[in-house]
Amino acid sequence: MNPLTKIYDHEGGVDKTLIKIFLEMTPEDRLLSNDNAIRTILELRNAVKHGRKTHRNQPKQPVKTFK
Amino acid sequence: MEEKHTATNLSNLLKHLNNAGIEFVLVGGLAAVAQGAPISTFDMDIVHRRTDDNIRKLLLFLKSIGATQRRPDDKIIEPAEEDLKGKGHLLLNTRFGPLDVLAFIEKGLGFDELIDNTVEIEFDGHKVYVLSLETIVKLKQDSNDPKNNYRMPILEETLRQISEGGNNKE
Repeated sequence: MNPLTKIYDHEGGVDKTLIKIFLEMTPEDRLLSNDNAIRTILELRNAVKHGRKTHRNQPKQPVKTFK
Repeated sequence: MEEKHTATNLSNLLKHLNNAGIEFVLVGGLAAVAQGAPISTFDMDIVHRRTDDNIRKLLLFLKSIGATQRRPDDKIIEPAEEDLKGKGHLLLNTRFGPLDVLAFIEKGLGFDELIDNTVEIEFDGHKVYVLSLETIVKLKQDSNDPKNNYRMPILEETLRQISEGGNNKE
């Protein structure tokens, strides 16, 4: 068996180990975990949005080449 | 000026719903999360009991958390009693994040039909009635919602691990 298959136990695109971890948590912790995930996703989206704006406003830098 | 809601804290929303003494069944993605499905969801879906007393409590609660309808045109419309008495879906923005208040879900199932297919979870010292994962899977199997395409294998595998005993805490 491929060692990666053994570790991640993917089947049909489902990460079984993730489900196992989630089932070991209490319902309350699962809901809090969802909140944390959403918060992280929103923070990342904001960061990407902010990054794009900053990037757009910056003058183009010449590409550095090394001889 | 109207407050623009940006924060999402669905756990707090659930806590406040309970504190307000509202009768509801938690359905949708968050119900699946509570039972162990490792998915993420941005909103909370509830089916409320449509009695006069419960609707009055729910309406008061919604007003207290600044609920307004989620609309593409950004018009500010607060929920009304008729909306909660009706048979439709009320999609809201609140101070704690998006909340969908549903009279019915798939197959026309309302609070009275769903309550027998719930599991009780303990959340912040309150009992919460959550639509069982088994029922969620059964209802979603017949649904055409494309969102279900990627979620279904995860829900089915979660259900399988639960039925095998796993380490489920509920």
